[in-house]
Amino acid sequence: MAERVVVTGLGIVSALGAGVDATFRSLINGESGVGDVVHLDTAHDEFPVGEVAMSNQEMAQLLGVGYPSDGLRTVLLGIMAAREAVASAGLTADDVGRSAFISGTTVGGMDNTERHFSDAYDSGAESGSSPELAYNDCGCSTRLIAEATGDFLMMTTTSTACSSAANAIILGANMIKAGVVDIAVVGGSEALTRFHLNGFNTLMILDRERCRPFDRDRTGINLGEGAAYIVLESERSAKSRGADVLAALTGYANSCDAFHQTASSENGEGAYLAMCKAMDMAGLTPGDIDYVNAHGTGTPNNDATELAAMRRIWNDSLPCFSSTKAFTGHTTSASGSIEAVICVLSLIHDFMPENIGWVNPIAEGAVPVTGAAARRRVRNVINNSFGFGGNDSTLIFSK
Amino acid sequence: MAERCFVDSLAQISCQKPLCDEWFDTPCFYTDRYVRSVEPDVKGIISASEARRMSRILKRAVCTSVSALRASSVDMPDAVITGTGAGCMENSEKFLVDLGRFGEQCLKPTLFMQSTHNTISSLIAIMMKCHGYNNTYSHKGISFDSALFDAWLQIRSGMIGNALVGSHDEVTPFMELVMRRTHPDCRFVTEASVSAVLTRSRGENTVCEVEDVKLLHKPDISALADLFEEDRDRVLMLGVNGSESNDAPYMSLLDGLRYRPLVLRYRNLFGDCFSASALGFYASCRILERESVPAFMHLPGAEHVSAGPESVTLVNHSDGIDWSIVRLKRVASCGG
Amino acid sequence: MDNLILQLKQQIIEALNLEDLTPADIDAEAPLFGEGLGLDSIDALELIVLLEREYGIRLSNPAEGKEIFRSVASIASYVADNRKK
Repeated sequence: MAERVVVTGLGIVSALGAGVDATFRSLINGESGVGDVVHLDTAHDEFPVGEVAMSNQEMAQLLGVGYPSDGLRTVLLGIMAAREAVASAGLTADDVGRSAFISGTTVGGMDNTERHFSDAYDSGAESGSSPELAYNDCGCSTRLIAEATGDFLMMTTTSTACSSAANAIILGANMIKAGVVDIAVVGGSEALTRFHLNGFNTLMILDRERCRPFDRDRTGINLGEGAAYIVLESERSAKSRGADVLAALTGYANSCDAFHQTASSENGEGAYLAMCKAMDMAGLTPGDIDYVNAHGTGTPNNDATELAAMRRIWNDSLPCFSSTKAFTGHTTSASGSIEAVICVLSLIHDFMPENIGWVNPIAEGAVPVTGAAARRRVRNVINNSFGFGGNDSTLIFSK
Repeated sequence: MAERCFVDSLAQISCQKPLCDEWFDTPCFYTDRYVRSVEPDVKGIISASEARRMSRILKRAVCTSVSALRASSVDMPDAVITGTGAGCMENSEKFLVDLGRFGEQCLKPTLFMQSTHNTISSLIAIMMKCHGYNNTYSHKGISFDSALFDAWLQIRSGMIGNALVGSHDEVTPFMELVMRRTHPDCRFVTEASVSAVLTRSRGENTVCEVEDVKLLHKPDISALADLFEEDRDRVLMLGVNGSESNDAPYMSLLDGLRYRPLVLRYRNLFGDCFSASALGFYASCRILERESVPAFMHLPGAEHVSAGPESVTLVNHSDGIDWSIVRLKRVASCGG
Repeated sequence: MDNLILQLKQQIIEALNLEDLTPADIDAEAPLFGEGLGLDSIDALELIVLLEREYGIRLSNPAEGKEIFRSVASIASYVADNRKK
């Protein structure tokens, strides 16, 4: 019988604040972190973003890290969240030494690269130009985050756009079930960059107002940034350490929509398969799901196709669902783990965050959680993360 | 982990002649520092309308993927898992150049869309309409090894029956700049595209078995020596490339062993990039399949490996920090 | 107008990387999307960028493109009326 995989630690930083407590308070109080851009140096100040309310210098000072990490925002955010997760799980140095670290990112050091690119590129290789381009790749960020957190047994980096962190969580769980490790610190980190802010703008899917997921009049995404890690552990290991078990990761799946690089198929095939397979693994029926934390980006395409996929499973009896992206912005590669933390909080505190900004339904009866955070018993939660390229992943957390 | 894991087929595009194994008998040797891949003829694999939007790395990835699948017994893989250390750099670079030239306007969506690392893996799935598990790993020089680890783990755990695993990296002006800074003594930098079909069951065309895949972060070198006790009768395929900084960790490992192993190399032939270990894997599989070792893969002055090793252990490190150990075994000696 | 149409064909071939085509291969009146050249939504976004880069015309809503990009002739007509460069 495969090991049961449980969650023993959480760490998070986003536009909602630094840490699990700040995040929970913002969610309960309906306080969105989406607003004007402050720290990213961009000409596009017309787009609201979910920015972390700290400069790089502030974070570097708080964390006590120097060069090169102090100029790499994805790394700084990651260290903040990873340290909190490790501490909250009560992992000793020995525990970390036998743990895996798996982190998801797509931008990596691009925030730093784009600041130095023109100078370095134009002056060419022979002039002894700036070393900054060497910190661009994804693996570099993961190494720096991990090494500032502890001495891990092994590490790697997932990079599947908006489902990166969810896929990091899936690999960690598979490793624990196979007995390769007992503990895995898993999640993702992504900082805002001009590269992807402008990239999303070329696709014309950014909203100039705060996003309205699942609303009839939604027009697009607010980008966000942040990092979150959860500590996954075999139940046996958690018991022998006397660790607090916050939730269980009872099911998960990764399916590809295989339709288009940036759009999802009309019937949400990848999303449908991911949710079904995850429920199969968890041994749950659709009726057992109390809450779906939807991917819900606010684009006309995603929300319609995600809803279509949900209809295929639940017909007219949709469970409570909401997107928290109007709270945090779309945190891209980190969204899978940021929203995993939100799902675990949902289980711990028996609440479901509201889908803020929602006014009109897309389709008859498709009403997300509105008004205020719904307080009721939550036993099983689905967390959806659907990335570009149809990389669709679903995680199920249970009490 | 009750199941076994076999290599069903492989394909490569590199600085050697692509999509074949002429390199085994008639290799090409280069003196240039940066060498691009020999591009294959994509007719019959990619249509003109598909090709127009693909950068070179994407075309190569599709080529090796389709070639590996065509040579395998698998019609539709259960999983497509890809490694890439730097991703689609050509597109990223063009976007960055445009950002510098035009500022934050008039930028091209296709460049952005095709710049994310998972473009490769998802493009393959889109072309094949494959709804299976799809993942991309980007962790420097163990990107391929991570993708292989994921596939191997899932196959051996019985979660999937087969997988298309690949790794792809390219040389661009940006990458040249990075390599000069990070690996100044690396004299032979190339591109790589390798795809392999792994299966749970052994078939007529099985190439070899993947017994074990381990990833380690900053392992203690003496502890590694303990790990290699079981490799006494195996050939070690090392990622040495003739540069001091890269080769020193391998030499420390060899010095720490309690026996003198038989060793081989492949980067003198295939060069270096983040996906180089995929070519080491490719070469090792072919050695086991053909039961023969090309002369130029021996280290200078080292003892020659007899024809047809029973098993090969690939040892790879990325900056001496992240390591991978992959154990491959010849099929004839697999039994059952 | 003929010059503009030829110029547009060349620019479209380059922007959309239609490597195998020459301007002579593209019928100015033929549909660009769906049938004809079979372009898709991403190509439409690239054409929006082309209009801005080459002619200073900014379209803020992709839906506007549907009518404008029907054929090379319709693009030429729109550019002639609205170009700022």
